[in-house]
Amino acid sequence: MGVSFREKGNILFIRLSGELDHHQAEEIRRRTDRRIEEKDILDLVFDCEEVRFMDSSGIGFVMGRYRKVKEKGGRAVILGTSSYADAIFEMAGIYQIIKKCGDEKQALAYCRQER
Amino acid sequence: MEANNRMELSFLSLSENESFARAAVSAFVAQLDPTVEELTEMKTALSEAVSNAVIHGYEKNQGMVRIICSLYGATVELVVEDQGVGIENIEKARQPLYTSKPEQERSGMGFTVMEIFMDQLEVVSEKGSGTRVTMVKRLGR
Repeated sequence: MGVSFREKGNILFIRLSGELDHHQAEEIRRRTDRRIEEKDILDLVFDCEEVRFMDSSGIGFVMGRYRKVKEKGGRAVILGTSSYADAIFEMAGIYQIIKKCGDEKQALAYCRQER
Repeated sequence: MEANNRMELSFLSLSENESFARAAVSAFVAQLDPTVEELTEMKTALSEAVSNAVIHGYEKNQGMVRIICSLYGATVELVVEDQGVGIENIEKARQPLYTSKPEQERSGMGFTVMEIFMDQLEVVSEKGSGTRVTMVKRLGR
């Protein structure tokens, strides 16, 4: 499992790849939280296109990070899900809480709406 | 009913072994030529059961997790067992979004995932002596 980050202003892009299970989620959670704090992040974009396996640990990871930024008025977007990740998010009803966007432009527009 | 084929696998309850368990069971059930979707569903359900054994079954301690995979024609039966602390209230544990460990960001969706992705789910548990999860999936439906 891999995670890579890039920022655009206060928006953090979190690119996940490989297998996201309970074991991998702990490390990714630690790295993501550090990044959110260090870079003063407000909004999150989860890019799950390269996720090859995901169980309910992925739900916990996404919801946990969302709760963190929500306290500060932040938003979260799920971008480009693989069919594996999509099935799990759909089942858990995540898209009722976190917006699913088709591309980066749409994701940025959503995050930059007036608060 | 006599199984056409069966395998057993035991490993220490370390989270590192979750991906190993998925890979081993996937390789074994491959002989039934499941679709990608069927295989993903079985892997995901198995991952939930094994994670439960690692996180909840033994908590801070370690013990062995045992998987028994039996093939009956085009039907796969997966059993995941631990000899850990057991589940006090199975009905409550099976409810969507219920988790005994919210601080660990468990989503409480483990049993729900198993129920949705498999055709049958049975949970037998006794406090202090462990938990056995039995899941059945019929392929080609």
